[in-house]
Amino acid sequence: MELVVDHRTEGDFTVLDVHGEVDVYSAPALDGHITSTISAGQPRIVVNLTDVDFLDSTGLSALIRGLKHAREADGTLRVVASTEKIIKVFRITGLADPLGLAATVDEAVGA
Amino acid sequence: MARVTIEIPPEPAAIRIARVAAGAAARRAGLDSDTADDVRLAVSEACASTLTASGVHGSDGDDAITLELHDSQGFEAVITGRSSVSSGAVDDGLDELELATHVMSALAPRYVCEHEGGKVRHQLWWPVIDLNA
Repeated sequence: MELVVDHRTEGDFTVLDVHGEVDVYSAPALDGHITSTISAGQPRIVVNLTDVDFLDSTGLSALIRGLKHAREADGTLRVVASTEKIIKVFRITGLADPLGLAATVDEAVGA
Repeated sequence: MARVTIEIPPEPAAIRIARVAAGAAARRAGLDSDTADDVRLAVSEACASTLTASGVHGSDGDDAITLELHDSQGFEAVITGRSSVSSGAVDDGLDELELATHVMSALAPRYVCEHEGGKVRHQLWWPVIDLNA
């Protein structure tokens, strides 16, 4: 399944709703969506992975790069995930806290 | 299960084929669905890090990534491919390689990575519990 990313606004955050699998093939596309969002003057981002079937370290790296880029633009990037196999990847790498992992978009926006 | 060997081109899109096959083989070997998910992720990490370490993108028979799966003593997945990491030819992406190694080490009870003769070999192993024993 190809990666599909939808954009919407929640408060002063841009929410990127990601659908599909994030791996070495599709991670560059996620990179592109995050970068273009920041370049458009919207550096407060929530990446919603609740509809993602697979995420590996290349996806994590894309999110970390996005966080760094957002911070450089005086913004932030937070991640939402609710599937155990996706949450597990953040947990075993210790990246849940740095990426502000939340269970819902409302929780991420309100954090 | 007989030994299954799959050869994929060193292309990001092909890695999905490897992890689907690995997940199916893991279930066939009797691993539960959560462990099969771990197998899929670990095999995907091994293939992706092999691709990154090779510095090669594109079809070339000599640079193919090989995945071997079998369950003779536990479930084992062995991923081999070309590697230029030891020669220092790959400067970018090493943080990603470290992250991938960390993930594989956390997911597989036994994980060994070896570099020799311009090749990298990732060996991942999970126990298979025979409920009928």
